Order: sequence, then C-alpha cells, then structure tokens
Amino acid sequence: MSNTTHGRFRAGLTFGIMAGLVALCIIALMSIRVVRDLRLLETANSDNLQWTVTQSEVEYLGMLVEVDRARLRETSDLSDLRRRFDIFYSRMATLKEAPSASALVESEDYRTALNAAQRFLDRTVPLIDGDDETLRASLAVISADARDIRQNMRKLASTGLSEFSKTAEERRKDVAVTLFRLAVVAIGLIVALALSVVHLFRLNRQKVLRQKAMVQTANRLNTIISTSLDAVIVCDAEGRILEFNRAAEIIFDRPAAGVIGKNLLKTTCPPELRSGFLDKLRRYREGENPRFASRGRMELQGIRRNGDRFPAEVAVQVAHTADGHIFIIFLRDISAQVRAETELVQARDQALAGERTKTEFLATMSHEIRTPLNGLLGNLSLLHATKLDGRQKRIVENMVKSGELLLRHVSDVLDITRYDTGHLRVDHVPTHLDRLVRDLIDSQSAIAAAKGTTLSWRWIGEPMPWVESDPDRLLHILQNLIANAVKFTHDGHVSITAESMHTDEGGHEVLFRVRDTGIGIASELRATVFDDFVTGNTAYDREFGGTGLGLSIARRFASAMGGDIGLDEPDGLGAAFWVRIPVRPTDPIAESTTRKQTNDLQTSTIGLNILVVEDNEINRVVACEMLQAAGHKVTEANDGKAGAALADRTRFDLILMDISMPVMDGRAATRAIRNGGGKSAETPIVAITANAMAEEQAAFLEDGMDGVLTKPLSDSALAEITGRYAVAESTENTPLSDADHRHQTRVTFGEEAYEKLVGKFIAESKILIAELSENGTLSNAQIERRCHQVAGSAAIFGATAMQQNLRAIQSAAKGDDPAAMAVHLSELGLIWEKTKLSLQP
Amino acid sequence: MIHQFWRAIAAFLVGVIIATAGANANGLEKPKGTVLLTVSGAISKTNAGETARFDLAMLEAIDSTVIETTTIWTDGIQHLRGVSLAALTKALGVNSGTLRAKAINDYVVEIPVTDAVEGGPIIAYELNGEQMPLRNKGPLWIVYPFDTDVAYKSEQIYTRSIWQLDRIEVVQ
Repeated sequence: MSNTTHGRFRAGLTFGIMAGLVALCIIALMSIRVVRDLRLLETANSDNLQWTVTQSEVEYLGMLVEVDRARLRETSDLSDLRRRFDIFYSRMATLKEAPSASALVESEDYRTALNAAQRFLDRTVPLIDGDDETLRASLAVISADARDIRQNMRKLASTGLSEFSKTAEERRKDVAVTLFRLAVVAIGLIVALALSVVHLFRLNRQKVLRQKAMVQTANRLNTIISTSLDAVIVCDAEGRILEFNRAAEIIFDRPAAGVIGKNLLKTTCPPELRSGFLDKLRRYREGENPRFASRGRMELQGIRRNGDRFPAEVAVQVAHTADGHIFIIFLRDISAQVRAETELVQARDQALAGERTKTEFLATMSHEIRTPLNGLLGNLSLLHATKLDGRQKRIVENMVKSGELLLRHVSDVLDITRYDTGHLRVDHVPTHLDRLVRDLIDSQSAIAAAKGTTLSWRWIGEPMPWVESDPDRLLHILQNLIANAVKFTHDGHVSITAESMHTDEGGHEVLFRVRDTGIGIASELRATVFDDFVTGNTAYDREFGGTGLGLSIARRFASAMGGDIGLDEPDGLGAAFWVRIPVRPTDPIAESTTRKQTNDLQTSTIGLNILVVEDNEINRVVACEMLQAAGHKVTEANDGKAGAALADRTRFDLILMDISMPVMDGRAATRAIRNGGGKSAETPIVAITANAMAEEQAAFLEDGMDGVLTKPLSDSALAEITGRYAVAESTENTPLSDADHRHQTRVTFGEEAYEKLVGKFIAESKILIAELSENGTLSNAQIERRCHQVAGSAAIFGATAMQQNLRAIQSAAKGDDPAAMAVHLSELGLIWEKTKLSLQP
Repeated sequence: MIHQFWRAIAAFLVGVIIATAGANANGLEKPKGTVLLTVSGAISKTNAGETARFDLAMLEAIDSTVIETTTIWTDGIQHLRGVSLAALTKALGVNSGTLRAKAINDYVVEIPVTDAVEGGPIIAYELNGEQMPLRNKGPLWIVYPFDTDVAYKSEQIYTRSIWQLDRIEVVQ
C-alpha cells in the first residue's frame, strides 16, 4: 500500500471507529432505557384503579341500601349494616392509602369528594362502633348523611375514570415510546450488524483473494521446484530433511515420503564422506561461518538408494526462517557430464595420438623415400663424373632428370601433407631479399638464355633489402613463379619487381610481381591455376614437366606466411603473378645464409679431414665419393658409436652425422662427442637427415650440431657446407671479386640504382677503414657490427676478398683476438684499393 | 370385681379416645371461636357437613407463615402472618383444581391450586402484629409475597389478593 492509500485508509479507519463508537453509545443508552422500561412493564405498579373507584361507589350504595333496610326492619340485627359500613370504610381507606391511587389526588374534584367521604366516615364510625341502641337511633342521620355524599361518590368515580383513561393513555404512550425506542435500537443494531457483515464480507473476499494468490504462488513455487530438473532438498540445522523434490526422488531413487524427517547425510552422502560434513555442520551450529554454504557450486559425491555413487554438482544456501536456520541444497547429477568429459578427453587424446601417428608417418615416409632416392641420385652423380661415352652420358642425364623430378614430386607431396596437417612451420629469420632473388635469377639464367629469354629484377620505390621472413619458403614460391615464367616464355622477357608497402595495421609487406611475355594462361585455367594438380596443356606437361602442385604449394606457403598469392589480369602478352608477404624490416645479420650459392662463387677449401657417420652403405659411399672428388680426406664410420669413438681419437675438421642409425643414433653420438672432451669435441657437426621437420632440426641444434643437411645430398650442398666450415683459408686463393656476380647485380638493380649503391658502398667502406685505422675508436662489438655490414655490401658487389677479410676481422673481434685482427687489418687497405678499382665501370 | 370394672372403664375410655381420634382423622375438630373461614367443595376433610370451618386458632394451628412485603395498597413494608395456602390445601387434601375465593363484600376470584406453593401466598390473619378488622381488609387477606418474585407483581395476582376473605369453594 502506498503512503497516500495508507493515509487515506487510516483516516477512513479513524472516522469509521469514531462513528462506530458514537453509534454504540447511542445504542447503549437507548438499550438501557428500553431495559428499564421493560423492567417497569414487567411489574404492575397498580391494580385496576377503575375497579377500585367504581367498587367504592358500589360499596357505598350497598351500605346505603343496608342502612335503609335496617331502618325498615324491625329486628335488631345490625351486623349486616356494620359489615357493609366496614367494607365501605375499608375501600375508602384503601383509596386513601394506596400509593397507586395517589395520582388521583391531583384532581381537585377527587380531593373534594374524598374529603367529603372521609368526613362522613369519621362522623359515622363512633356510631357504628357504639351499641345497637345508639346505632338504631341514629339510623336516620346516617342515612341522610350518606345520601349527602352521593354526588361526591359519583364524582369520585368519574374523576377516577378520567384519571384512569389518562393513565391508560400515558401507559399506552409509554409502551409506544418504549417500543419505538426498542425498534430504533433494534434497527441500529441491525444496521451495525449489516455493516459489520458487509465489512466481514469484504475482509473475507480479500482474504479469499489473498489466499488464492498465496495458493497460486505456492502452487507455482511447488511446480517450479517439482519440475526442476535439479534436485532441491531442504533440511534444518540438524540435518533433518524437510523437503525433497521430484528431481531428488529420481536422482536418489528414494520416494520423498520415506526420506522426509530422516537425516540428510545418512540418506544422500556416501558413508566415507559423512564425518567430514557432520563436522562442518557442527562447526556451523557452533557459530562458525559455513564454508560450504553460499560458496557457489561444489563437486561432491552422492549415493543412491542402491549404494551407487555418482558425481554431483552441489550448491548449498543458508536461509533464516522463524524456526531457525535451514539449508537449501541444489544438486545436479553430473555423471553424464563427467562421462562426456572423460569421453571427450579420450577422444582428444586419441586425436592427438592420431596426429602423432600421422606426423610419425610423415617423418618415416620422408625418411624412407628420401634415403633410397639419395642413394639413386648420389650414385648417378658419381656415375656422371666417371668416364662415359656420349650415349651413356645421355642415359645417365635422363636418369638424373627423372630422379630429380621424382624427388621434386616427393618433396611437393610432403610439403602439401605438412601444410594440410598443420605441421608447416614458418621461419622468421633475417633474410636478404635482394640476394634471394638474385640467386634465383642466377639459377634460372642458363635456362632462360637457352630459350632466348631475359630476366630482370628491381625494386619499386624504396628498397627494403633486409626483412624478417622465411627464406626457404619465399624462395620456393618465387622459384616456382620465376621457373614457370621462364618455362612458358620463349624469346621474351621475365621481369621481377619488389615493392615494400605499409599495411593498414601499421605493418609492412612486400609485393613481388613476376611478369612474363610468354604464352600466358588460358582464360578457362585462370580460376583453377592455384589448385592441386592443375597444369597447362598436357602437351606442355610432358615437355615442361610438372606435377601441377607448384602453384598450389606456393599458395600454401604464401598463406602460411600470412600473405597471399594471385594472378593479375592480363594486359597484352604473357602472365603476371604476384605474391604479397607480410614482413618486418630487420637489421642485417652477421651471417649471410643463402643456402643456394651459385657455383660461380668459389670458396677455397683446402682438403678437409672429414668424418662421415652413416649406416646406410650406399649413402655412405656416395657421400664419401663426393667429398673425395672435391678434394677432401674422408673417414667412414657406420654407426654412432664407432663415429664417436673415432671422433674422440682424431681431430676432424668436419663431421657429417646421419641421424637414424642403429646402436647409437646421430643425436646421441653428437652429444657424446660434444660432452666427451675428445679431439673432435669442438668440431663442426652437420646432421644428415631425410627428416626435414623443423622441430627435429631444432633439436639437432640443441644437441650440439651446427647445421643440417637434408638427404639426398647434392654436390652443391656438400660444397656449401664444406666451404662454410672451412677453417683455413688462404687469401692467395681468394679472388678479388666476382665480376659475373657484379654484372648480375648491375642487371638486377638497373644502372641508376647500381651506381647509387656503389657510391654508398664506397662511402661506407671509407668510413669504416678510417675508423678501424684509429685504435680505440670502436669497441669490439662495434667493430663486429660495422664489419658485418660492410661485408654484406661487399658481397653484393662480388667483392669476395674484401668480404672475407672483413669477415675475418669480425671473427677476431668477436673472439677478442687483437693479433688476428691486426693481421687482417693490415691486409684490408690493399684489398680495398683493389676493390675500389674493380668497381669502376 | 372392682379390678374388672376399672378395666372396663379404661377400655371404654380408650375406645372413646380412639373414636374421637378416628372422628378427627376422618374430619377436623370443630371450631371453638368465631368462624373466620368456611371451605367447601372437593375437600377430603370436613367438620360441618360437607364444609370445613375454621376459627383463628385452627388456622394458626395448621400453619403460621410470615411474609414481609410491600403492597400496592399499603405504604412501606408490611408484616403479615397467616396460614400458607399450600398448608391449607394440603391439610384439606386438595391437590388440584381451583379455589373460588369469596369476600364478605361478595368479591369473587378464582385462584388455581397451583398457586398454592411453598413460599407462595398466605391467608393472612395478622397484619403488623394485629388482627385486621373488617375496616382494614380483615379478618383474612390472601397476600402474595410480592417482593420475592416479580411475577407476583401482575394484575392477575393483584386480583387474587382478595381481602375480607370468608369463603373458599374448592372446584375441580
């Protein structure tokens, strides 16, 4: 009820009460009057006055008659007379004395008559009381006297009559008034009764409505609780169950009737957990805060009627009622969920196991296929190096071609599988884009030249040579694009451009475009050109060779790197592919690691002492032959244990370690060599593996390996490795510069950019040499960095001698070897002069 | 001889006494004083033909009940002594019927025998210690104990409060 309604209600109530009280007072007063009147009516306060008065006249006349009779009779019997007189006397006395007759005295006539009669009586009494003689003698007098009051007696009677009628009227009026009052009272009471009945009716209706509402609410609550799928159990502070809903009945398999009043823990809690809860209950009763109540959901165990335990999600709330505390327990049987969880976990584990199996399969596949391929190709390579006639050479070359194609197929499939199973890892290493592209172009230049096609490459806009990216993947993509372009262009031109751009999110990306003036792509192929196994015309297939997986792999790689690949609309001749790769500009790094070094770059490696540890005989032989052909001294070991033992005894310049071997595998052997402290403990160890998984390669490095070679081995790969880890280099064998390389650079960059770069390089070098000459200007770290920078630049221009010299200084600075540094520094000046000269066009 | 004579006389005397008693048992003794009340009608005891006559002594002998009450004919509380109607009717063997009471002035009123109860009306022969003369409602006045019961204060009872009573006829 709002305040105003409440106020109004109160006012109405007060008024009602006041009115009621007033009415009650009136009724009470009236009732008192009525009761009094009724009581008065109960008794007659007078008898028939009329009778008395008329009777007085009758008895007067009777006396008169008797007097006359006595006069006429001769007998002396006067007893009758005396009697009559006495009777009359008595009557008059009554009239005089009776209080009821006192009303009559009001009337003057009555008074006169009464007095006259009284006088007569007074006069006559002595005569009557006297003897008979006296009486007889006075009879005449008495008679006359009596006759005198005759009129008075009459008047007495008539005044009596009028009085009587007056009294009667009054009495009737009284009765009427009394009745009226009675009626008023009765009506008043009836009205009051009616009002209270009405009021009661209203109250009753209110009550009924409220009751209905309450019943409805109670019903609704009951329905909610009884239809709830969760068990709702209410128990008191002692643990006695007060309520047990339908869901609880179902969950615990107990009827509510059999459970209400019983102890909660005894019916629902597994015996071994009871004591814990009893303790908690006891502590709660003793006033501690219940830690189990109002603390959200807990996972507990419940016990069904048949003793089965089941996991349950329970929430306990405390409520305070008039009768004390009650606990309300909401309980859910989560055995289904728990089971589902377990199943999910199992399924997940199974899936993971499946994944692992797939991965292992991949690895095994990789290994199993590459190993014989390695043997095949390796031996073919050796065969090719032997003395063969023209026909044999041709046959061998064809075999090599087929073998390489097969290898490419396998690699492609493995790449695709790796990508599709999500195992494709993308590197983020500093990459020199220029070098990457230039190497690619170099590798394709022979083929292009044979077809009369030229290649060119340049930056559009500001060059961004050093970026963080995955060089291998990028190489693969670009190689694919460029090779395709060359493949399909006859007497034309392939131009490669790179453009650095900002992304909307504030990052960088590089957009490569490979445009050719070749045969282009048929319009019906444009949509599907990136799909698996889509090649061009089948005729060209055979001629050009291809799995149709190149572009699809390129697309996979591109999206793995977070970029995109696509085909431009043709404008005129040929096709135009583009690749967009997000990158991060980065600092140039110390080592330039382009895996594919052109064969023009000659590294001088004097014969190294190399240990080859490989269990597969064929592969071992192949490797050894290759190395020996390159002028190195090779020692063989056919398992890890033997290899480790050899390494301990002898100091090798380089160890090539196969990974999967019996007895002791490559990784264990490497660890043994590194930790063994033998002669070759510091020797560079390069893993030879058919397994190209990135995680594995990382693991090798952790074991102490310095590099990884994938099977099948190739001459160039071996050469690169041996070149990289060669310790002794003599500067006499170092050519000053690589003219061809320089030419390529010039072609790639274009004259303008080339001149600019040359200028930059010369300036750089001058500054560096100046700084290096002054002792103490630069710290070792600074020397390292600066030399690395310039060495990188030198490499671009094919200034190999300078590059190596600077590298040597760099190592000396890194190893804090002032002596070595001094040696190389002294040579630097001369080399620089020579280089500068060679740079002039 | 003499012994036998006295025995005869004793027997005779006893007989007479018995006879007298028997006569009394059958009826009432005869009134010696002025007859105040004559009861006739269906009564079981008589002493004068079919009627029973009573003098003051006889009435006093039957019963002496005192009523103290006010009346509408008098002023103040009156002391009335008399024989209760119940005792009288019992003495006369009257259990039911009507008592037709007549007064000296020939006033008649019928009183049902049911009125004759213990604590009910009396035939008063003494008012305030004195006998009532004819001039003052005497000699006998049937008075109800008006003050003891409101029911006695009704017109009908007032008419039954007959004074100057001298005859009662018992009618069935």
